[in-house]
Amino acid sequence: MDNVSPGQASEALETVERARRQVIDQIHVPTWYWWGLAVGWIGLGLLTDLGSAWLAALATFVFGTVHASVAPRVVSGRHGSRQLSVRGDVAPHVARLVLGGVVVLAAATVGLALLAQADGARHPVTAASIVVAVVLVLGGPLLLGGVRRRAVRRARRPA
Amino acid sequence: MTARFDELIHPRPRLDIVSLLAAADWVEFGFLRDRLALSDSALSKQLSTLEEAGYVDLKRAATGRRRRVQARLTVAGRTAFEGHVAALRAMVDAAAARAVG
Repeated sequence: MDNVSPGQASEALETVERARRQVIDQIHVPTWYWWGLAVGWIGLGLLTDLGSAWLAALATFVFGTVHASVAPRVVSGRHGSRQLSVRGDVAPHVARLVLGGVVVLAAATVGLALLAQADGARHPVTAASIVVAVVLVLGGPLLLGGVRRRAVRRARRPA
Repeated sequence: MTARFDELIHPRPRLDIVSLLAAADWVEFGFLRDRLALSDSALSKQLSTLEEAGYVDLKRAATGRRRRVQARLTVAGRTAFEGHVAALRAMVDAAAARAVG
């Protein structure tokens, strides 16, 4: 230890931070998840506008079931790479952020659909779903980018 | 966390290896090799040293025709790493305090 200068200690700390960033870069929710959500969202919107309540209810149940079975494996972002598993404390709350975002977007779909209906749109739910689907496909990766930046900032803070 | 400089962890590339492992539950051999630009034999040697010290656990599995090796930090390895980082921070902080004072 006596042979290590403060400069060398500082370099070693940079090495530690760089390695952590390399792992943080692997936090990833697959693109197919966002696209699958978007396509399902538009499909549900279309079915709702078709006016068949039981069909829309059935489709919503199927969509929810499929999502509930797939989401736990992918939304944490920790298993985005097959080469490693990111520790939960490196990027906490990713699943909560993603699923919270989905809930907010569901509420936004209802709000947008009501606005579109008031404006006299022929297919208000479909129109609202398309807008939300675009937000999902474009916003999902942006959200993960934000998560990675936040994880890097957390890593810079001394323990 | 008790600051404790660890002579085994500190030399490169062991510090790189342990730092990568510290942020992950497990890491594949191939990822470590590619990120650290080490040969298979050089990485194996470093991992063996860490495994012998009880800092790293290596899990070997065969999937199809490929053999996969996953490395993870043990509890002892994580404790040693965290103590080492705390010691490095203490050195940097002490130098900064001396410079100000």
